[in-house]
Amino acid sequence: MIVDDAMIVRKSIERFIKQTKLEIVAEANNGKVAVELFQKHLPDIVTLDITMPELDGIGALAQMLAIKPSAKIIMISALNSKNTVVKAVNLGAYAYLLKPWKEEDLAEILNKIMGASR
Amino acid sequence: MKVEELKAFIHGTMNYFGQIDGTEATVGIPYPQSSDFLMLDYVGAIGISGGRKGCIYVTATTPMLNDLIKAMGQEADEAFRVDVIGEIANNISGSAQSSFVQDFMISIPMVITGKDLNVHLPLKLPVFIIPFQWKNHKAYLAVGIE
Repeated sequence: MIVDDAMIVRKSIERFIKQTKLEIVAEANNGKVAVELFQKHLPDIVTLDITMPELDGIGALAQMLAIKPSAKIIMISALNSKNTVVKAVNLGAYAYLLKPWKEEDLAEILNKIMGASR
Repeated sequence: MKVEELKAFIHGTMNYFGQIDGTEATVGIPYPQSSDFLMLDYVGAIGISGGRKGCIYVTATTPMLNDLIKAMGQEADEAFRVDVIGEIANNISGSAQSSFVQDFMISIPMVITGKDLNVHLPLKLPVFIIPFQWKNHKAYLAVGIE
C-alpha cells in the first residue's frame, strides 16, 4: 500500500514496486483515507508519508499498527528531524527513508522484509 | 536567521535536484528583499511553526517543472506540476530541519499558480532570496523565518 499526498511520489513508488513481486492493494493521499484502506485490505507492507492533510503519517502509523501489529511500515518523508524519526521508530515504523528516496534504498528494505518472511 | 541556517536551505536545494537525476542545482548568492517578491509560473510555499516561525517558498517555471517530471519518469501535466512544486518546497524545508537547534514543524505545501498574483505569504523579514539554476532553468527560493 502506498500513502503520499503527492501523486507524483505515489506514481514513482508505484512504478518501482511494479518491478518487484509485490502487489499494490491500495493507494491513499492522506492519513485518514489510508487508515480506512488499511483496515479494509490489511496490507503487509506500507510506504507512508508524514506531512499530509487530514491525518499525518505519525497518526496513521499508530492506528495502522494498532489494527495489524505485524505490518511493516516504511516511512518515506522529507522531514529530517531527529525527533520525528525517533517518534516514528518508537511507534513501530520498520524503516525511515528520507525524500527524495533512492530506489536502491527502498529495494534493500523490501528485500530485507521479504527475506525475513520466507 | 543565522548563516548556517540559510546554508541548510541552500544544501537542501542542491541535494534535492542532485538526487532526482544526478544534476545538482547551482545556487547563486542569496540577497535580502523586503517586498516585491518574485513569483514565476508556480509557487510552492511551506509554513514554518513551532520553535521557529515563518515561511519558505520555491518558485519555478513551467518548462523547469516539466523537465523535472520527465526526469522522474512521468509525463508532465498540470496535476504533476502542482505536485512537484509542492514536493520541492516540502523536501527543501524538511531537509533543513536537522540544521536548526529549535525543532520546527512544516505545513503541507500550498501551491499557487499563475503570474502577477497578489498573494500574501507569512514570510518573516528579512526574507532571503536564493536564486538557483537546474540545467538551464532559473528558479528562486525565498526564506523568511524569524
